[in-house]
Amino acid sequence: MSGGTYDLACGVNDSNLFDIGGVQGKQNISTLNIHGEDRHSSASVTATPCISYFHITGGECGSTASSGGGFLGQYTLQPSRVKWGPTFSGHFGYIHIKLPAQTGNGASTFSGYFVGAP
Amino acid sequence: MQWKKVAGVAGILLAGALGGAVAATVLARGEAQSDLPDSPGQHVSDKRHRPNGDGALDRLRREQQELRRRLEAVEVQSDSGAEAGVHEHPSAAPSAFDMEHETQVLRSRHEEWRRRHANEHRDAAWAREKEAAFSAALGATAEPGGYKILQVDCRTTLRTTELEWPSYTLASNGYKLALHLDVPGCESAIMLEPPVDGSRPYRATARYDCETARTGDER
Repeated sequence: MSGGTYDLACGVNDSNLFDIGGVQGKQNISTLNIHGEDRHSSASVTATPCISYFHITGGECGSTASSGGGFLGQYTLQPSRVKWGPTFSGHFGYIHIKLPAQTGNGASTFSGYFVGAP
Repeated sequence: MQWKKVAGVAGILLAGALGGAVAATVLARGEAQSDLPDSPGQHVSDKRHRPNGDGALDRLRREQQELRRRLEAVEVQSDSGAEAGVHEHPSAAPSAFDMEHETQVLRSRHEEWRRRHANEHRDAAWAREKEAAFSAALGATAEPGGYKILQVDCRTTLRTTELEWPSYTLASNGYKLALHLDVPGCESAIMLEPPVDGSRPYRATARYDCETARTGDER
């Protein structure tokens, strides 16, 4: 939490042992939909697919998707998954989500995310 | 080839075959006994009228023993392979060699990024504007991230920032604030190599690729 904003990190299921919803490994994800409600009239909800290196401190993040500064209501974000490609298949994937500070409309929310395969 | 999986499947098949043989033996015995009278003496006399009955049982017993022997051999091979670790699943915990190799891959990746940044033309007007915005965004996270901003260097699409923490431990705790910097259209990366002396001030370079921001393909 920083300046009233909330930072969340959601791990992504990643396995070659089990078929998770038709997806084996994050590199095979073809759809990523992130859902919630933006209740801030000027600041936005952002979501960024990232990785943590599995063997050394550090990581990488792709481009951030945003609900938009003036947006209010239910959002669906579909950020680029470039850091979940085959090059990074050995590293641990997560989604970094930033929620804006609470306002008179209430706190913005993150409901969950959907991943799908082709 | 995943040896353990093959061994496991072979074991299951052999166990199934062994079970089948045992079941066949029991059935054969059942059939034989269903025709047999209750008393042992009558049993003996009955066997004389079934010249092939013992031969079939013997054959099944031999097959059963052979299958049991082969199943035990497969189980021994499977166990020894797991103990030796030579047939482990490829995604099992990586060895020290794998770690070093992967670290080298990442070093090369970050070095390539450094080279591209050094060779990239500086778009002066854009860079000045973005450096100011970038420094402001970094400045907002400097305190919670525990770092000082030593330098911000924007070129055309690539930016680097030199950051310093009081120690490697604090760098490990705070680097994600620089990684998660809220700059639309930019990818980010940072790698913290373990230092020789972890108690000394620690410097690292955060790298940002803002190609998407330049092309205006921001979401």
